[in-house]
Amino acid sequence: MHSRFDALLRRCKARKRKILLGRIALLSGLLLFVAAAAYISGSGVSLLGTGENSVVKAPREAGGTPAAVLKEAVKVADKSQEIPKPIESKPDPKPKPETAATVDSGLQKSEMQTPEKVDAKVAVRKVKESAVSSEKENPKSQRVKPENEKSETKERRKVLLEIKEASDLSVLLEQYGNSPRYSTALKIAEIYYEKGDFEDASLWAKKANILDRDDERAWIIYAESEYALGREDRAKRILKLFLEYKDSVKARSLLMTWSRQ
Amino acid sequence: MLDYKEAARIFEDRVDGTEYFDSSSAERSKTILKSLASEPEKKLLFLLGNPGVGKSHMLETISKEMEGERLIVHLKEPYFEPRSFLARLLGEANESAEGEMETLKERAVGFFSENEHLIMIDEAQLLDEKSLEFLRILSDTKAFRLLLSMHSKEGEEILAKPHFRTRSHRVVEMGVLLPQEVERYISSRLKRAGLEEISAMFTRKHFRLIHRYTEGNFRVLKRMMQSMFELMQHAKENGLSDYSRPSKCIVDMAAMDLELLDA
Repeated sequence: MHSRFDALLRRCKARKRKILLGRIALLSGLLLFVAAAAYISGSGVSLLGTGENSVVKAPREAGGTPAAVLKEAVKVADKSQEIPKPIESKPDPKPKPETAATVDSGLQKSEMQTPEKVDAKVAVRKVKESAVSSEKENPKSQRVKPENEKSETKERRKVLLEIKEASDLSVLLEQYGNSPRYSTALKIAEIYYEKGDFEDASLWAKKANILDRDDERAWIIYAESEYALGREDRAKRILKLFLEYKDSVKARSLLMTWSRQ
Repeated sequence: MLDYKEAARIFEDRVDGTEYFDSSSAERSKTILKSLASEPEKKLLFLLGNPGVGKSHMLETISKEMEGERLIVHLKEPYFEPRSFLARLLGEANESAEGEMETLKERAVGFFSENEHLIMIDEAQLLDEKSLEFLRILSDTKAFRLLLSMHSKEGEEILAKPHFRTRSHRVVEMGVLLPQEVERYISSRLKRAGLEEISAMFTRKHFRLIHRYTEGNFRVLKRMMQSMFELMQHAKENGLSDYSRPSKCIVDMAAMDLELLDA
């Protein structure tokens, strides 16, 4: 006879219930999180949509035809696509403000040009945004374009929107405060990194990383910032951790370079 | 017929040398200890391990395996008086234990420096400062081959003391059972007792859970198995068929019984 059988059985059943409730709570939390994420990303799109609508009037104000406006926008988009991507193009973890051009630094550079050029750029931006909007609104212009051109334009529109989003750190910080998104956190991290503020770059890369563990860019910038701060072991550990989780050529080569040094 | 009573009985904790289990850690420790005990230089040997990992079983096994080739003095409990310790050593050597302390010491040094032996002291963490110092003095004569078995924590503290730290000694640490060794141990014990039917009722999942709760500690594992079989026996006798077979709940209940699981 086991004198404590009933008491143990009760405890066992209570534990089972506790585990089950815990799992249900976890699952509910996960579902809520997914729903919230879907809602946030959905509202983000709608906000951008509002932005586009606000500049729909621009071509009419400028007096240009939609086709001409679109042509101009394509030119601008081509230019913007020439700007190399941040991080991925950098083999050296040390900051290279002169050579490591990013979307943001590209913008900063363009803003540092003469006022006339700045005005011209602003005008071009207005034109291109209106072109994007008109493209959405005017079914005629869509009909003129072949299918592959449509997808190309979509891509360009995405790049243009990204440039727009990344233009100002304070705007990005506010944007993140309102709606924490991976892309925003990553851009903030990149801006800080380019400015040589590695502490903040590390902090924001970490925030981005929490929001999306799959994208290597946050991992890399996180590791590079730590490396730039002299915390080399930690930087290597971050990359190793990422490589255990997911294979990445970039992370591997970076780790190899650091190990050789 | 599922004989859970018999199954519980075979997991009772006994230290009689028949229970040695050849886990990788135990085998490694045994090989090292036997080789150190055969070295020409008589160094002080320490066997360290957490309570319940099988140090006493190890000493028992070494004692049995080396008995024919040398004099084995196995003190299962530590002595607290240097004089009684010397008297015990001389008694094992069939030498007279009469006389002054210094005479006894000289007699013991004379005998043990001439004859191959191994003096094993279990639970040596219980020795007081004075006794440890006496052992250190005996070890310095290079006549005695001493093996002190003690708990890891206390052992490390003792070894950190200057009179041991500065002297030549060897430390062998015993580790815990691996998950697959827990499975092998339980299955082999049950099969050896003719309880194959019970052994077959356990799945790998059960073994992994048992390992997790016991953390591979030999003594805790035996206690847990005993408790588990007692619980299953109770369920069987009371018609609680859901609990008369190994299950996660039964493993949890046994872990709770031993306070290994807080719930």
